[in-house]
Amino acid sequence: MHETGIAADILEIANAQAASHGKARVAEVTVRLGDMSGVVAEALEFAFEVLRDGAASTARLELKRIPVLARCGACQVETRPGADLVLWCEKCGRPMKVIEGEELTVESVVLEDGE
Amino acid sequence: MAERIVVETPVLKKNDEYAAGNRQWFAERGIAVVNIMSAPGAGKTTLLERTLPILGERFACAVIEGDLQTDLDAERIRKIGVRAHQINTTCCHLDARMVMGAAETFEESLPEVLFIENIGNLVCPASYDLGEHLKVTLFSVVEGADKPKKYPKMFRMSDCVVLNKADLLPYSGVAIEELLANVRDVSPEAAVFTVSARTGEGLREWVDWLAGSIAGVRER
Repeated sequence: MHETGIAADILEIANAQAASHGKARVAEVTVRLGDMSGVVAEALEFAFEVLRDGAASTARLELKRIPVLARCGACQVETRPGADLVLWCEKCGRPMKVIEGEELTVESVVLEDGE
Repeated sequence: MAERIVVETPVLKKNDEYAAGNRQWFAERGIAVVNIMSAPGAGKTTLLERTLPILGERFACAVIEGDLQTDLDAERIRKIGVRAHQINTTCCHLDARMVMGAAETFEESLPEVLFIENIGNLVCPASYDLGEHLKVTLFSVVEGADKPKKYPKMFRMSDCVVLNKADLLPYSGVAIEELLANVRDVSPEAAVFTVSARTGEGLREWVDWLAGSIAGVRER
């Protein structure tokens, strides 16, 4: 549900990049999206397409999905938990921390000059 | 000519900056802030109605209420003698900027503890840092044992998970052991309490944890 707000924030960041680099168009925006970011990729893509404006009015959204990676706080073992997301270390039985998979970051933009 | 520019900017950077500002504002004024999140109808306001009279013996409390419509919840809190400010927003979550606008309304007489009752939603509020010190996820047992696995982020981020409506367990078809195991899987380090805000069952343990955690925040 908050994907519209998130799409608007992404567009604002992209348009600010075009302005600060003196470019007319944003051709592409690459966003790293963690599987546990709480953001639904399809909803974000839809909102982005609807809200595209300014220099980014024809921009393409490229989503890089990042799977969850957890690390044990005690023995430092790293695992990719499955969909059932058990955040306990299989090796030593201690709690694990999520170290990847919550990303929601504009990684890069492709800017173009005007015609 | 096309040119790729590395940006590396968190999408919610603006909210995170407001949240950092909030945190400083709260610290300068010695306010401990508790963000309570849940799906609609899990019992956030009822839990506050039962918690505030006990906690109020130790700390001066105030509440920010978030809802899409009405100030019914703020009215309920005021009825038990606690100050409350209602935020109405068409958003599905509260953000850091809204919270500061509301917190400033208490400036004439600042509370020691500020509760934020977030918009009822088990997904979106988890993404927005409000500058709070403690995150609490409230979950009513009747929502089903599988939900912590289906909506893990909010549970995982919380310092405490309160399972409410324990009085309805016999009618719910939910096995509390399964629900507790699922909460533990996704949120290994959270304090977990099973309560009934309606009957008072389990409330003492929850309030003791809360009072201890708030005292810890205020000593920092």
